[in-house]
Amino acid sequence: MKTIWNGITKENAVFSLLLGLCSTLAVTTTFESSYMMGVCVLVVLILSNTIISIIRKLVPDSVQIPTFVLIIGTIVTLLEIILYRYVPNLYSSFGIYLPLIVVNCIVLGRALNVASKEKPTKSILDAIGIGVGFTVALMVIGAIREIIGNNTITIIKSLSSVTGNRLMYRVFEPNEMFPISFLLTPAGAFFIIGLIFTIVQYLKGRKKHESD
Amino acid sequence: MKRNEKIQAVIVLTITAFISVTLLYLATNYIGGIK
Repeated sequence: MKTIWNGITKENAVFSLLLGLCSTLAVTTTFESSYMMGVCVLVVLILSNTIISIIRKLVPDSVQIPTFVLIIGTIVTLLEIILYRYVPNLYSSFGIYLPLIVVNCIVLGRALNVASKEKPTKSILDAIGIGVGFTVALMVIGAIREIIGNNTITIIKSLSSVTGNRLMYRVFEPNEMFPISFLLTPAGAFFIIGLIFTIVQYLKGRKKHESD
Repeated sequence: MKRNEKIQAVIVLTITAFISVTLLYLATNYIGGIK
C-alpha cells in the first residue's frame, strides 16, 4: 500500500519527477482525453512491468533495452488496435501521442529501474502507484484547462460510442473574462503545470521544515 | 561478453520478437488493423 501511495504523492510522475510531459502538454485539452490517456498509460505500465518482472532473470543486461522496447511496443500497438476498433474518436483525438507511449520516460524508466530488478508483486504495485498518480495529475490539469479555457467539462464524449450517452456540462456562461483560450494551447498547459509544481514543492518544503 | 551470454541474448530477442509479431498478427486478424 505504501508503494502505491508513494507513486501517487512523493514520486508523482508529473508533479514531482517532471516525467511524461510530452503527452501531458498535448493531450490534456479536455477532461475526457486526460483521464483516458492516464488509463492507457496505467494499462501499459501494469502489463509491461508484470511481463518484464517475470522474465527479468532470462534477459541479459546487454539486450535489456531492445527487449523491453519490443514488449512495450507490442502492448501499445495492441492498445492502439483496440482503441481504433472500439473508440475511433478517442483514437483520432490522441493522434501521435498514443503510439508515443512506447518511448514515454515513465514506462521505460519503471521497466529499467523497478521491473527489471524487483519481484512481480512489487513491480505491479509500483506500476499501479505511478499509473494512478499520472492519471490523477492529468485529470487535474485537464479539468483546470477545460474549465478555464473552454468553460465546459467533458466527462463522456468520444466514449459515447461505447457507453451510448454523452456527459458534457457548461460550468459557467462565457463573460468578459472567461474563457481564457490561451490555456488550451501547450504553453497554457505548461503554465498550469508550473503553478501546480510550485504549490507541490512549497507543500513538500513546509512538511520537511515541520518534521525538522 | 561471453559466448554463452551472446547466444542467450540472441535467443531472448528472437523469442520476444516472435511472440510480439504473432500477437500483433492475431490481433490484426481478429480485431482489425489500423488504416
